[in-house]
Amino acid sequence: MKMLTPSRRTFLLGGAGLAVVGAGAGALAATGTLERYLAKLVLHTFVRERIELESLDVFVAEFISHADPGTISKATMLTRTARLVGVKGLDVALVGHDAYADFKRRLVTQFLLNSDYFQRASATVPIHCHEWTGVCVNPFARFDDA
Amino acid sequence: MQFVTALEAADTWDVVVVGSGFGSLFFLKRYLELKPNSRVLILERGRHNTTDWQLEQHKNSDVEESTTFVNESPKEWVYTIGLGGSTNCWWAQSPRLHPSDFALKTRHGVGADWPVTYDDLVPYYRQVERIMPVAGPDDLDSEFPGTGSYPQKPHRMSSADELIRATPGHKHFVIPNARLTETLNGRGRCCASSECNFCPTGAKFTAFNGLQDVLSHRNVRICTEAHVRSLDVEAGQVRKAVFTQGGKDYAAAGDFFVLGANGVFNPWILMKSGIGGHGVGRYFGEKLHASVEILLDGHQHFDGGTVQTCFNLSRLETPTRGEMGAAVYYFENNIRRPGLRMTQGRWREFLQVTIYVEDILQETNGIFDEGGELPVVRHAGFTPYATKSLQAAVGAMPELLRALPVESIEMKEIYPVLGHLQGSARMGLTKADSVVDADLLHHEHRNLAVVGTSAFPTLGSVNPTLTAAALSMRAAERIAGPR
Repeated sequence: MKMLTPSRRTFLLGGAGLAVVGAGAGALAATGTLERYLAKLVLHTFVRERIELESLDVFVAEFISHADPGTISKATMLTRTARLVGVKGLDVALVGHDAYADFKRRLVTQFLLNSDYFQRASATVPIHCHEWTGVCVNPFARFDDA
Repeated sequence: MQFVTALEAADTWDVVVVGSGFGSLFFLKRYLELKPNSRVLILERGRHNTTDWQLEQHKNSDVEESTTFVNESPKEWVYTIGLGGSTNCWWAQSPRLHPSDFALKTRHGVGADWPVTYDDLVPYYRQVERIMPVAGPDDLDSEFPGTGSYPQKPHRMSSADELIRATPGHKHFVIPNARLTETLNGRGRCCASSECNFCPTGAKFTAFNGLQDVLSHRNVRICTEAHVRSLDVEAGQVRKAVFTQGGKDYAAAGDFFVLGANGVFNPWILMKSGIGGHGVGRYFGEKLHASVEILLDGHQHFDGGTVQTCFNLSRLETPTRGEMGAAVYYFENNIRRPGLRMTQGRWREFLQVTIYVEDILQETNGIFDEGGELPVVRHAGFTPYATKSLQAAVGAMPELLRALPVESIEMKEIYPVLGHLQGSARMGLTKADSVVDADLLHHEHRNLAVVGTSAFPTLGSVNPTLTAAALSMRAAERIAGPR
């Protein structure tokens, strides 16, 4: 049987190496509207962190390609509203809104699991989004005997 | 595997099997061990969607199940249509039913008793556990007598589980499951992907990686995209399975028939065939499935070795089970869903527990023939027997979790679906109380076995699959074995 491995989707990633490093929600990490909204939401959530923007672009593209239609539909609606009130304004306005909280949680969790956030040598090192893991994604799982 | 056309399937066989999920294939597993020269035809409504196809497409079937029935209930119902049935989509939790599950009426005055006991099934549980094989702990004998050792070592529990298990009197155990902890026959070990319906390593048991000896048996032929409409009965015996393929009608004749579609289509085919019994299409349902989210203070979770690590049986068999159903807590180690804690720097200080709650199957809930092309599913929602138990189970959680640094416990949601269709062709002692007997044989048409979870007369406390497989192996042995 053919096995999926984390490297299986490498071809999608191109040559995303070290590039621009953004700090703060003002940076535009991607050009498409939906992509821009998702990137800005990540940047806003991690406003105190430095993130490699080029790798963030790749993460956002992968997130969209793996999301179910319901998630995309939800994100598209949020994108439209964010055009009017801004990403930060929308984030504040939707505090306590379960569907928004679930969506943001999914995005942020995927960002954390598909980046070196937990593996960085120190918090001052910019976060780099690595190849979309897709499978076998839990870096904390213990497989040894108790 | 030897696939045949509909024309080739329209022949005479020793055994004709409708559906190819757990119930059908474990029946055939034992049947062919006893009668290897039998000519067997499997009629499968769906296609052969290979494991690679499922991984590539990120779906288990090309058939959207919601298009195959009319849902007139507040709940959703899910299943997989395709070769291998639910072996494709299941998440492989494989506990035995508890001994008390088989005698709910006798012990608590509600629901029904099963016509088989836990002890009757022990040898068959052991067989299924070895075939899959199941990974599990060696300390379950106190709850599930005769368990002994599992063929694969247990998955590593989380550190939260370890703390709970250090509590005196705990009933907290590693869940037996059919996800490998050690590589076997080309199958990889579980990597805690938390997406078991698309297991990326082959760790999860499926029909394709665990029952190839059945599917590829020299005397087994498989006809896919064969939609069985009814069974022809003559002189009290089932004679033919009538099916369509590509808009044409066909019929496969046989000496013995196994109906293993699922909880929706087993009764539907029986009704369309004029085959009766008490409760055909009735007493249909599934357990209530709820989610509870726990915020932890300083404890780092998600360090278990698989998607769900332990189950807690402290509210399974209680003195109040006459008024409220069994509740079993499942400790989640799923890092993808619902996701990490949304507090900067405290991402892992979060634990999700899901709860399975037993309900009483109601005669009024079921599969109905309204004269249309599709079965109509009606379910009135969960009864107070389940909802009261959920409330009590959540209320008991502070005590249950006292070993953990708990910040808060929040009942999050009742899921719209669990994926455990049960009832609708229940087993029992006589045709006055059931459709099939303890050997899964129809009370009147003795060359017809109805297999799978549709035969369950009660929901039981835990995941039903292992029991469905064990019932099938027992039935096959009693039907095909020496009398």
